Amino acid sequence: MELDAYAPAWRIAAAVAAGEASAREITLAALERMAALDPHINAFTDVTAARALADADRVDADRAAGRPLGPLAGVPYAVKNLFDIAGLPTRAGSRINRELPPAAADGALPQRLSAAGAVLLGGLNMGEYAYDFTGENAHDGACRNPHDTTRMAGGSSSGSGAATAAGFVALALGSDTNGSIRVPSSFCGVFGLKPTYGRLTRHGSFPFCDSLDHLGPFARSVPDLAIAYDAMQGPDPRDRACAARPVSPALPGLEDGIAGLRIAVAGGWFATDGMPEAAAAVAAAAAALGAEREVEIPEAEAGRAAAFIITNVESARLHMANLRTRSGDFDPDTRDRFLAGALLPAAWYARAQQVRRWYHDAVMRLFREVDVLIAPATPFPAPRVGQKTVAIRGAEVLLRPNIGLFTQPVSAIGLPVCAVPVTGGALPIGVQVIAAPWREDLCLRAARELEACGVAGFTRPLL
Amino acid sequence: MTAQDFDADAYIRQVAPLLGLELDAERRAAVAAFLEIARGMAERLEAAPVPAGCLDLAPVFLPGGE
Repeated sequence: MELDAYAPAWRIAAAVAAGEASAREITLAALERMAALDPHINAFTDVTAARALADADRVDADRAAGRPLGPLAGVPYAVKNLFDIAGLPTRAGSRINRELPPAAADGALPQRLSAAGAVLLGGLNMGEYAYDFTGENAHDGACRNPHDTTRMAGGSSSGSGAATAAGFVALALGSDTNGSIRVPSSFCGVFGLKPTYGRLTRHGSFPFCDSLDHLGPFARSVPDLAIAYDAMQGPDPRDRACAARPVSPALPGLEDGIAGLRIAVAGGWFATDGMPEAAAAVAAAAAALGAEREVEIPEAEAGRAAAFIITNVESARLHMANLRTRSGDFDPDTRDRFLAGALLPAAWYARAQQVRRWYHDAVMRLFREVDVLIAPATPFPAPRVGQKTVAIRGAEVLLRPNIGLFTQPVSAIGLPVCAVPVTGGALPIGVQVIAAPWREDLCLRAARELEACGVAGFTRPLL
Repeated sequence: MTAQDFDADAYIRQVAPLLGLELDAERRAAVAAFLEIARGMAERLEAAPVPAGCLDLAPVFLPGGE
């Protein structure tokens, strides 16, 4: 069985289980590729090579002894550096957190992936404290897009998108508060899953905004995304927001197709006029899924505003002590936003949580008549590193506040979304496949349909 | 309050010390820009036709949990 750097996780695990490849040789190949190519991309901030080889050897020893192997046996993966990695300070993209003592144990989700046999290769670059859509970072340097290293990887899970697209790892973990899984997925041309708020435990990860933080996987194929997602499900009382729901595996129904599903295109706030790449991606996905109907997600703009205020206030509160005493140690691109968030009137925050509830209820009514919604993931493909403005609908506007235009209203109410890279453009760009809460299975089924018919999929970069 | 009568710099100078934040003129100018963006978002929230006379907030508090 031939395994190259872009082999899917399921194939790697099958080869390891069959004895056609060892976890050690797969790990060594990934480490060599990272050493050769990551200096051009800057996806990794920490490489845990010794630990990775020890973990790989354990997988190989289990196989040799005839012990059962997990569904991700020998699969290389890495995590955004806001996940705890035993022995490393959880830097969360910051300079300040590097002074923290090393984590005593891995975060809960890396523990679950490792228990499934996956091999952790290290921590990944990210925007400071996850308050970012670009992948730029004043402390660790910008994470660059493997498809064009003059361009942004997207943030804040920049290294997660870039390491997956560059073939360093088959799986990566990231976080998404307002779009930080979906934006780098779109820019780097990989699949990403932001599950329902409360589906996956956040224990052992550094927070950004408690009301809106989600964690989730990146992969180059939908089956890989489903396998990783299934391996990470399950309640965890250590995260109060984690729902006490039973595991609901998505993999068994992944090939069930879309027959009987009511699929519509999101209009209104999600309209793509004047955004040719995004419009083409949505049109291709809609045609492939037979989505002829357009529906308006009610009050999406208000939902986005609620997410903005909630994020600004909660994240500023989290960092208040450091804002008081050492604001100069923050990345200049996040510092002034945190400071502004610290000053917002309480009435704005309460209103935001009120509008969020009301917006949620309105969208739940929409899901009585629709099962799956298609929306653009980003308004445009990856901008250039350092770019400050962008043309949208004929007007030159600030880049950073507009990257999350389409992702923010969806995560504001915790809906499950699969970011799906649509093929055919000069640069990658993705769509969002959105379903009602707890229906990740529908997101993944529709994404799989797009992948199977060739409208969506990972395209190898020229590295 | 309208766009004309909000003085972001004056607001920051009043509120920042209340929170123990020391901001020089350069910082205040930079923060004011983000405060203006947030104010635009708050105006959008204020305009949302949420039913009056109730305050149903998104977070749910469940007493008794650890």
